[in-house]
Amino acid sequence: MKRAAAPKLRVYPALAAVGVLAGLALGRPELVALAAPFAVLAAVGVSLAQEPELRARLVLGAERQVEGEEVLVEVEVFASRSVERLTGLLALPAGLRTDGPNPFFIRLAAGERRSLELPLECERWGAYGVGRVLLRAQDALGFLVSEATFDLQQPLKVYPSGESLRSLLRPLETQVFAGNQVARVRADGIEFADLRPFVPGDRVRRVNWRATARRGVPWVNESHPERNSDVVLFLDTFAEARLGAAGSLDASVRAAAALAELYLREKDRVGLVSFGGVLNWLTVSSGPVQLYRIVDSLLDAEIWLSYVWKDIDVIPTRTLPPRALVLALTPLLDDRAIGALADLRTRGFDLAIIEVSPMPYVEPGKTESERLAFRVWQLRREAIRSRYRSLGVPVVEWQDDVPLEAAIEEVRRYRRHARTVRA
Amino acid sequence: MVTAAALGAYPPLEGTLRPLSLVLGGLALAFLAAGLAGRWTAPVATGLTLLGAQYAVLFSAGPEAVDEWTPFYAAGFLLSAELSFWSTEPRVPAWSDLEVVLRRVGTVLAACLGAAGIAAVVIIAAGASLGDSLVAEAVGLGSAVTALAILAGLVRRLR
Repeated sequence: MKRAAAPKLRVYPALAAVGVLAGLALGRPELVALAAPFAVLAAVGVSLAQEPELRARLVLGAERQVEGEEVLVEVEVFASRSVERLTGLLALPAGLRTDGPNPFFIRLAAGERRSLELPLECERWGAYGVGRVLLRAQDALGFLVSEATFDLQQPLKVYPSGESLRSLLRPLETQVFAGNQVARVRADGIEFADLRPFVPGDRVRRVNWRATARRGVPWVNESHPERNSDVVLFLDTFAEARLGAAGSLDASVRAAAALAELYLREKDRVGLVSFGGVLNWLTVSSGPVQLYRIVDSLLDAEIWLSYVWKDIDVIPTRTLPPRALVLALTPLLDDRAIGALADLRTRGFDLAIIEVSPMPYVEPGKTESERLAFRVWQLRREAIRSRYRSLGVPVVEWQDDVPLEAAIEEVRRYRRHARTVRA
Repeated sequence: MVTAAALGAYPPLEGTLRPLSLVLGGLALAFLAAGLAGRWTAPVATGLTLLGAQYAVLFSAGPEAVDEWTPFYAAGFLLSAELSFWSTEPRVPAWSDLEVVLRRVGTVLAACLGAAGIAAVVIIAAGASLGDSLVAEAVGLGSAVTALAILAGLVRRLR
């Protein structure tokens, strides 16, 4: 605890001294009478002031919460001696805010415990540490100030509030494990595919009796099996466009969380590659635990400024399994990410790009030259999109205020009509 | 500021020192206003000193009789100082108990009443006939210096 004298404590004795000396010099008791209260007040204030021995405790209502929801925080302060004026502040990181009593200005009697409940609004996803409490106590006459800082940090994870999706983008090829996706191959399954003549080894229960009766020779049903697929969410964290509290990375993270949740619900295996100044990855896996892993990993996603040239060779091979759908979420702002995605496609990966549009966060500028630069930049972005399309990669521009479902549907439509090119 | 202005207008000085009194009063108010606007304690302290100096000018050329309004002036002077330093304190838009503010206002008013009482005691003591000996003056001077030294010692120990 740090204890300091208020400015008053320097001024009051000085005023008293000047007054007394002036009174003595002029031989006038009035000046002494004017100065005496300052001396007495300072002496009484200093004599009565005691160290308050402050304590603070913090209880966080939840360790995890979804973006936009509230978490209740209880701050308890205690003082062994009476504190006439206590100012307290729970320091909140950017992304959390409260409309509750913060800062607070209270009085504490000796031995009194006072609890204040603060509803924290989780404005932005992220991993936070909540619990830095600053207390400032002042004695009754305001001569001494005691300050204490309590580091009672507790972790709070705010998960991105992903929008609900009804349908997903399906990979061109499935894996060998059972899942919810109807595979293109023909094997044992439920979904009817075709009819073919009976061959030795076919099961009798697969015989199509109507077709057999019509043709006079045995015919069997063929079906598509239900398989799962591998999906790798590729998050471009090299650069982002940001305007105030909103940015393209926020939109990317929300979209990634929503996609991961739905793919995992469909029994697919999902992995994550966060490709930027710092490379993070999660190998593909399935189940609810993987969802927590992915979301926790997304919380750490941030822009690390780096000039190091990186290509897909730095990504561990096992994070990009064969026949996986690579679903990239990128603002197409950094040449390294743009090059890496093109490289992925040329290596035969099934790639789809959702371009998280930086346009809502960019202003064209005021001068003619600024507007010209803006138009050139837009044309350059269009050229990048054309380059991907020439490689057979669907690129869909998505803005945060448009449902993600629309972007997914656009990619799906593109893939339905585009010719698949195999490397 | 209102209290300081009232105090500045108080000394009813006539004669050659009147302009000096007015200048000191004006300067005191200007320093106080600057201190309150910028939340600086140094101009506030200077303003209070100038206000006291203006009061002292009254007696350097004023009547020989003791000013009977001194206790009220002392209370007003302390009120002005207390409110000025309250205004210069770092202010945060905090949620607060009403009780805290009411208690502080009560403390300030009690201090002002106390100041009036102390000033009255000093004035009464000054009027008491103890003789005009050199010893009495030396004892008085010694007491004042000792009191200030004790106060300075207390403040230094805390700092």
